[in-house]
Amino acid sequence: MSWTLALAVAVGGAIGAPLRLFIDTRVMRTLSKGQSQGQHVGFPWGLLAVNALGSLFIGIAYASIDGHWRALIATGACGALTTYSSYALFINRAWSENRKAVWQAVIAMPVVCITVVAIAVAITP
Amino acid sequence: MRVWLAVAVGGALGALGRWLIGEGVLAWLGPAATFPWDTLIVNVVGCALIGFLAPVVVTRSPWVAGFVVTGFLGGFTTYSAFAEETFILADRGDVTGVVLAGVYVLATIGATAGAVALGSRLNPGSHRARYAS
Repeated sequence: MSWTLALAVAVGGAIGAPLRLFIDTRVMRTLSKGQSQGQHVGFPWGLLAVNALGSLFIGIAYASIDGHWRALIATGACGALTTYSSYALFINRAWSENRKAVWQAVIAMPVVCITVVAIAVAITP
Repeated sequence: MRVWLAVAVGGALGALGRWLIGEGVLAWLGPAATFPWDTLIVNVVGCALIGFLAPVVVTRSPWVAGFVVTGFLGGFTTYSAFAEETFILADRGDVTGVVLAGVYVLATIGATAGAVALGSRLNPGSHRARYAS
């Protein structure tokens, strides 16, 4: 095990996770403007934004970086900028309240993010 | 400010945990393994934990929720690696790769949903009372 690789992953994680909080909060706050703040479970646009952005960066990183830079940017920063747990929690909670949003989220998230990776890999020289 | 710091520290630890599991799975299965078991394991474990812990931490300070849920579990689980690995399998150039990509996506969706449900069921707290409407 390489300690410098571990450090690179941790530093990347320390960058990615607060960035996710910032973007997710911003997106949801912008979209909820003018709407009543109720218990309504809408579409997780904030999570789609961070996961798509992280997929873009990891697609660019895919063929262009390696070693410590990959540990820092792909494994650490992109890994922590994106998330699965909050997305799965949303699906679990929306199941009883907004079944339509569940199916939209279940389909849109993988379709958008995998497509973004494919495009990013294709356009990266 | 403290919340951001908690999220950053949690994210660092979560990413580190994910990487360590990845290294462990690599050592266990060898570099020839084609199926991304490491990311699947990490995402399923992280989803079970968020199902179990989310109802507990929301009653605590924002600092705790930021550290545990947004930071650690957010940094531990990942979507970018999932999307990248699916692309790599599908782009491999053979039918088996495309099939494996489809299996990986469906297995991740099904197992993570089951993990959240199991985690919240195991929690003796207020989850079912609060969210079963």
